[in-house]
Amino acid sequence: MTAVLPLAELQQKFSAWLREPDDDRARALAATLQVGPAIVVYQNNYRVSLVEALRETHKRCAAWLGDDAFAAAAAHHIDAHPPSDWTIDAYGSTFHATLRELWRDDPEVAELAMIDRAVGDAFVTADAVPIDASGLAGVDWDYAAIRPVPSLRLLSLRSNADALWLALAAGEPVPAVTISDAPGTVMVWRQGFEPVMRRADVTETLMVERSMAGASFAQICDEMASSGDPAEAVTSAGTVLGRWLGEALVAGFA
Amino acid sequence: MTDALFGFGLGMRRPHYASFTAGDAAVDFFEVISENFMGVGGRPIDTLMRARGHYPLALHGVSLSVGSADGLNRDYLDVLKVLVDRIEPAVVSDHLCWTGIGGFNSHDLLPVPLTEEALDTVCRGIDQAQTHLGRQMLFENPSTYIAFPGTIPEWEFLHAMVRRTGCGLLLDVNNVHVSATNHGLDPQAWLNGLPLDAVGQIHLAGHSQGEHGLIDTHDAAIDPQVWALYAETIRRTGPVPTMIERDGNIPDLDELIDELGQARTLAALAEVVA
Repeated sequence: MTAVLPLAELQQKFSAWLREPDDDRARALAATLQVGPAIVVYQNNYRVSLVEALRETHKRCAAWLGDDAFAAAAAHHIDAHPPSDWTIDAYGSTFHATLRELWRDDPEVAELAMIDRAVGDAFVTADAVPIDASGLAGVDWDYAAIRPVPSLRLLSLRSNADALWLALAAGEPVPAVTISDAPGTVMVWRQGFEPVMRRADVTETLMVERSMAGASFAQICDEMASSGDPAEAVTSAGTVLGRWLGEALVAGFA
Repeated sequence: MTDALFGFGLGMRRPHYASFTAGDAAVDFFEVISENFMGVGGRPIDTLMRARGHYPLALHGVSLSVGSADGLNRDYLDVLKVLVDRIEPAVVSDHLCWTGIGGFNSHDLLPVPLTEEALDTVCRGIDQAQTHLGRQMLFENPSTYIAFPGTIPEWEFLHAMVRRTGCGLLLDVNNVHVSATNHGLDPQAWLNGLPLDAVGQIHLAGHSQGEHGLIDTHDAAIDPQVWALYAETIRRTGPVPTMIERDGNIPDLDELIDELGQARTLAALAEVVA
């Protein structure tokens, strides 16, 4: 009887075979494992489950591309980026980069994938109880930093992928693609159990980026005032904060 | 509140969440794939907690990878422990398999070469997992499509595994049928060799015919030959919590409840015969 390979060596060879996209090289690797032709069942399971995982976490992007184009892009990604995380849900966190390579002139493709991923992440992020205006009592505005809810994600988009995504999700007619030279910001977060998203303007983008970086509200107002009237900056920042409180975007103050 | 597992259950799948969270599903317990609920918040964990309020729970994992030469992933174990401590399941289980090595994770249940070296590795992993979780686990016999040369029979491997680690066996009767058939062996003989006194839970599922043999697809009704093997199993083990896994072509809940009724009937008949 032929002796089986040492465990680590066998698993390294098996793993290499699973990942090998070239048929000839795969056959050669399989021969070293000394098993029957049914070994292909595992390679099929491996690829099918990863394609399905990418499709599940990128539903709107998949709907936009169509089954065949999405499957081809997924196969390309699987060959280039084998999974390493313990959860298959994490697989595809860089899928948008693969799509950007494949569709260099169509940024909406990668950006739809970015939104899919952000919405999926927000769906399972740690729970937080957002505060409302009553939570402002006693805040020391000289030092307080706004603490956004943990589900908040910021996306920088060149296209109107957010409008495409929302139309695809609602089953509504999809608007024409538009591309801008200046990227815009989309905020994705969770209200209760439901992920939501909307655009942020320049002022709001500055506020949310600086808040997520830990800057105090006073520092942010100072930065906004550096290019204009200080009183207007405080009013503007206060208006944004008020909106955030109404949208379940603030978990508290640090 | 860690209720004991008993009776007959189903794997809780998305189309049926509402029935389980409302307590309307006519089951004695339910099982979920652990990794689907190992995110930290949001609707998934809320769904699990609400269903858990109505039924005892079995947590069934697919990522422990006790057969990997690299050993267990400590991060995974930590997150699993958080879920176990939070949800207090009656049973925590995984598979006799490996999923990856060297930083690669296939997310498939890959076959362990049934050697002494692999047995040492598997037992070391089970010991570590049970110690980390502070409880006994069950490990499922896999469906296999290949056999490595120079290895021992699976039932001998499982005997040694439960004896050395004190873990229980999650006996998947469909997997016995699929593996035995694929390897040209008699499923009954395969069953005879298993450590039936260590069985803590039974899985039933459907399979399909592939180009190279039977495939454990969980996408069809349970095959009559698997039902016959289950009847023999339960006759010999006595009452063991039994459930159906269905992951593809998922029918209405009522259809699965009806199918579960077949298991109830066979188990009742086994008790009468005994």
